[in-house]
Amino acid sequence: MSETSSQLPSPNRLIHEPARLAILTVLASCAAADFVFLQGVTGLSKGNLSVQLTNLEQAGLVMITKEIIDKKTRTTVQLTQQGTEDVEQYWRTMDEIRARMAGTEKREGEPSSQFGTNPRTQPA
Amino acid sequence: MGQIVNEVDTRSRLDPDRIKYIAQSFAWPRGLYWVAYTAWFAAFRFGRVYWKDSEGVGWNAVWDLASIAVPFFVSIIWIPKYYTRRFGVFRPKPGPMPNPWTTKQKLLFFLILGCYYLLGITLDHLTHSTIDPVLLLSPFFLLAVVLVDPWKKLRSMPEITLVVVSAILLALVALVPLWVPDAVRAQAFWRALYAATPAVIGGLTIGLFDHITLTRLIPKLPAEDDQ
Repeated sequence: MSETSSQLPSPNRLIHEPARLAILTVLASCAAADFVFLQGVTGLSKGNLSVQLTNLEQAGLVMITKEIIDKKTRTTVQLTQQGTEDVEQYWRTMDEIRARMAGTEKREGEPSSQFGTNPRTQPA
Repeated sequence: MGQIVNEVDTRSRLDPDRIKYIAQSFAWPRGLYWVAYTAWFAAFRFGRVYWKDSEGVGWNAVWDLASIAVPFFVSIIWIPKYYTRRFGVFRPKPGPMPNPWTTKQKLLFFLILGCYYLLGITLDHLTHSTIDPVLLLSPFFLLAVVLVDPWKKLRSMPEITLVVVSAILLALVALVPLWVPDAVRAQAFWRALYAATPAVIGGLTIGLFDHITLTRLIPKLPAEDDQ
């Protein structure tokens, strides 16, 4: 087990954090979404969402646009090309880890893996 | 992924089915739009039958105009505003959305549809009752459609309750001739209700069913003072 674990690929730490992963997963399912929508779907507080979006923007994974509509600021967020590729890569890495862990568990006769599944490869 | 829980703010789960459902719900008019469209259809059908038997001829035109105008303005002004205020803005990806229905579910749906009509026609030939057999079977059809729902996993008690209540109401409407003899033939109100019932089955229930699921999956967040 320890031998297998040492060979496991490392997922992107920036994406792997639960709050950022939630944001990126939602953004991967649409062309763009605004702050209110992201907050509703992810359940993050305004402050936390704001901080995470800034981190993701600084890393070049998302693009944030602000516009004034009906005297209110609407913050729209979308994945950049790099963001789309990194999220895809992240899920490929997670699939690989899960496949390896499942292989190891099968050999050792242990129950199924605790890792999640890639939403992009799951049937609807 | 269903097991990955957001540990930072625990108000929401990162469930892929939930995100797929939400993405699909915002990709085309659903939920309240269906309610508005079918309310128009139901009102229109109701007016066609009911006002035809009424004394005031002008009411027919007024009713027709109102039954079109009200849902039209509601669906182009109020509903988009409400969705933006309640859920925020979601711009769907260009191109077709993936179909959530599996081949098995599609086949099952058409099988149910076929059986429903065949059974309705057979009952109509065999019985001489004033009860409309197709209408009588509609509650079962409604329940069967929900059983093949591709998003069954996401539904909860409020949605199931809505469908069961709708099914009971439909059954009661279908059975009206039993306790009010010749009601459907003699009384305009019951004839109109019969005529509008397919819209209730097709749109109002399913639209509300979808809307309740959506509001449950995207809960209203408590007001915060930090921004």
